Amino acid sequence: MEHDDGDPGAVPLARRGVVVPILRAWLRRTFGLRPSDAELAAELQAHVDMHADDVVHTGVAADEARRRAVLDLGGVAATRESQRDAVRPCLESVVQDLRHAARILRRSPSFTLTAILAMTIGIGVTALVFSVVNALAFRPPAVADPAKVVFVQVEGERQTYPHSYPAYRDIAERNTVFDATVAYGFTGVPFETGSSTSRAYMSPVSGNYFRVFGLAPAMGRLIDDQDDRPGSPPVVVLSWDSWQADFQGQASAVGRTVRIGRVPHTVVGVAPKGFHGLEVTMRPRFWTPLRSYVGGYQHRRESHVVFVVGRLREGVSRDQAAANLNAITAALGREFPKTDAEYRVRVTDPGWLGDGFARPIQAFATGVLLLASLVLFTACANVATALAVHTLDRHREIAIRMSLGAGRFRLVRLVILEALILASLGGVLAIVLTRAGTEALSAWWLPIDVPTQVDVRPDWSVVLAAGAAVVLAVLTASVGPVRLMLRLQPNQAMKGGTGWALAGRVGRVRGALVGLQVSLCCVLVAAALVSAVGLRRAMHVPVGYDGNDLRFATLDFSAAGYAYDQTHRANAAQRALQAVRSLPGVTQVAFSSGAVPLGGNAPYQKVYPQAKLAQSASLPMALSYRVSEGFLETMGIPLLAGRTLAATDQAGQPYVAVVNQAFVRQVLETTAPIGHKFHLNALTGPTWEVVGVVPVGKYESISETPKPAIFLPVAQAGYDSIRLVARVPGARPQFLERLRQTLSTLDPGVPVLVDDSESASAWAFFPIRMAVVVLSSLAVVALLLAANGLYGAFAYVVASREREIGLRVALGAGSVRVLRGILGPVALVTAVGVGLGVGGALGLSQVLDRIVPLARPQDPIVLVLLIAVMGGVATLAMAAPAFRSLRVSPVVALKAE
Amino acid sequence: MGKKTDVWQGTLALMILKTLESMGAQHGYGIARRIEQTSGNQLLLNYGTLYPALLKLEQEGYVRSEWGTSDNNRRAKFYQLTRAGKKQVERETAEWNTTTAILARFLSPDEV
Repeated sequence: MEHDDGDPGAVPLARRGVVVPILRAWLRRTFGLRPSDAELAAELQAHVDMHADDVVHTGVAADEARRRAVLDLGGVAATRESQRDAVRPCLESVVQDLRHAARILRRSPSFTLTAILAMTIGIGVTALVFSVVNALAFRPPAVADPAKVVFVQVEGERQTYPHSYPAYRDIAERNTVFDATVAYGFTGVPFETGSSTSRAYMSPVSGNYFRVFGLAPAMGRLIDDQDDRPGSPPVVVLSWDSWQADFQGQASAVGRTVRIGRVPHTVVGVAPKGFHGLEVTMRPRFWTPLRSYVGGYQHRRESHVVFVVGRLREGVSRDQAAANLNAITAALGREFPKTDAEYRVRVTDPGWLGDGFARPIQAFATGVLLLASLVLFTACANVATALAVHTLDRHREIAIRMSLGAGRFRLVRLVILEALILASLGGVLAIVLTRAGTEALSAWWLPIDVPTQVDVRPDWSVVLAAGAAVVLAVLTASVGPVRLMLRLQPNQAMKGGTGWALAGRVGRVRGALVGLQVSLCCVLVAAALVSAVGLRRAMHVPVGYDGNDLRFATLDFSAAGYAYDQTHRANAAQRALQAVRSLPGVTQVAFSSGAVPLGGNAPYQKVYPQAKLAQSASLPMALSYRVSEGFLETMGIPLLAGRTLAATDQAGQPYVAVVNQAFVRQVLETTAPIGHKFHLNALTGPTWEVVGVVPVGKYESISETPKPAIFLPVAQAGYDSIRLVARVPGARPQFLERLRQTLSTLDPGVPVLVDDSESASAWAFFPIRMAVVVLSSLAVVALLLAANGLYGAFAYVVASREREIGLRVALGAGSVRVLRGILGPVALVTAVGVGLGVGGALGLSQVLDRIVPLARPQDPIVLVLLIAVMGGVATLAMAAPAFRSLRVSPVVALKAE
Repeated sequence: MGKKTDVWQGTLALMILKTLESMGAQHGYGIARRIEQTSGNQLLLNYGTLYPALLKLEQEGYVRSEWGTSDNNRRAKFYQLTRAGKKQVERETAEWNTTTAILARFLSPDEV
């Protein structure tokens, strides 16, 4: 023992304050400066003896006095234990308890495994989903000072509407709110490295692009202003990924010559690793100077080819920027009324080419995140149930330990350590899962031609937060039962019947937890079902044309280096038509300039109906398709009134249009549309006359509301790229390759892309497919967890009532009665859980609506399926324990105690 | 195990220190009896509470202990205040007085 503190020679204590003694006490406790066990025992013995002496003085026999003394004072061993706890070096006992906890966990591997798995899934899925959501919706682009980089979005119905190059120049020169104004495009081109030819997507950028975004080259140099001047030699900057994939990361790549759209370009450098342009999903393979791309469009205000991004000047707000930019575009509208009227812009975040895309994606992401957090809750409830049951199962062991003098603190700590071991194992696995998942997702490409990839990085703060949630659940779940047990009398607990004293209370808690799991799972399954039903409906939504047997081919005239004029294009289109018509199996063939319904982006055009010119209402917009004669017939779009487009609708003839019913109703607002006349884009343009009416179809997405659309003769409206559509009944898979070869031989310089109807409209179906995949996987995870929870709860009920069941069987109860007695409560919990879950799903219908617009939780089919799935899973989970309960032998059960 | 200890944990240390201050060196049993007596037998002090508290005080350096012989000729461990312990008694007494004075004002009926 040390007690030199009081030595007269010591430094006066007052000056040492309180900290020093506390610190010393802590050091002593931690490192074991404490009296020996023998000394503690001797001291306690003395206490008992003295107490006994006093009792003897009152005239009691010595033996009896000792007994009374011990009774009065409480167990010697327990006191010693608690005294030891107070002073035992923490490190030593913690290590001891850790080992003990690990032993306990090893002893029940199935419990340990399921608990760890539930935690892994709960934490991992949440972290994974959050990482994706973060990557999609909230992470700023990888540029310097991203908060100041804003997207100048063209106002209008069209979501990703670019600016014309002259308008970009005007905005860049006139604005007073940007330090720098950057323009870039995005386009597909044939790309030849010398060793391979492929179709690549590139981004032509203004000369200030890399400088403004503060990027440093990984190798060589980046594009600068000099490169973007007329007459500069064509150069290209590779993305890091392209450098790795196309040039195996060789330093010799810089200086090499590649052919982009047949034009030789010199590789001058490699962009930094991790920079994929400003867009979240679209990744250019390389960048070239904007000037060569803009080429013929340089002075064309009607050609909208570039996206514009600005870096805000210090102290300029987004509102100020928008005001300044709109003043400029309004002025442009006055200067160029034919092309730039009604030119308005908005200042939005970069990443999705404007908020038209960003908002639905963010809504989707947030909805999914909400559902994923339900998985986390389910996992928490799951682990909590398992742990509570596990701890309760040990009531006898704990009772024995208590009666042998185990301190309460030690017992509780032991249980906490057990939970923490589980949680840390689950956490480690969750981290592994998150890493693997994010890597897999980052490598995944969307099922469309454009290179769309999302850079998903694991979000470790989420892993931590989810882990903390699970640990909290685990601790509550394990400490609760122990505290209950500590109130019990050990001798009672050891007698065995105590399960019941606890089971009533804990049973309710466990029932609530299982019910919670079932209802959370129910919500997720409902979401998955809604998306699946939605997808099924989407597949069968009338799209307005007959997609079966259609094959598409695109002749990309816009590839860099090809300045085909209208005559060239018209001739090329006619040659292609003839070539395809002669292919075996083709019954009909036609083409559109640019887009077809549900494939590609058709331009929106402002419509000035002549009958309504006097009204100053805001101008309606209509999707416009420029198509050849026979296009409507080939697509299988039926004619409702008037005539279809004919070969005679040539450039010199009266301008005609076939319109859809939505155009008739919403734009013309008439019941007799034939003969109505309108202008497009500008009053000065030609007058178009309605000659035919077709039904409304789907044009941009499956879930859209009816949109006004018009079909114009391509000869009158102008050629762009050519999109051939051929009807080939019963076409074999080889047909597409045949089609590609046939068209490629016509003009080797024009890249040809072929696809069938399904891949042509893949993008239109993509969101709902995505929803099905995401929601179904969440639902499967939740189902597994809920089944696990149900199984665990039910198995526990059967096991703990084995004796009672045996007794009943012995007394002659039939299996139906036995089962009813046992299944009843669990079935009730399940039913209540499903009921609550259905309620929750209905409550979430707003969220789901944003993800999957075609189905709702309140659809009867969804409800029926939901109840069937939940019932099936519940039955499966209960089957094994129910079977076991029937096989309880009365003899064994009665012998048990 | 039961809940015999009705001594409010925070006050026990002060009671022990004050007892030692007034009685001088004393063994655990003596301290317990003294505290029970002083409280008019309203406090029950079992040794599961007392000895950990004593040990803690010792580790904090407020008391020191040595083995001696009791009045009844039993070997017992005797505790006595260290100099730091004496200071601590003063400090804690003062704090306690302040606390009770404040509490008294809350609990007494308004006089003004």
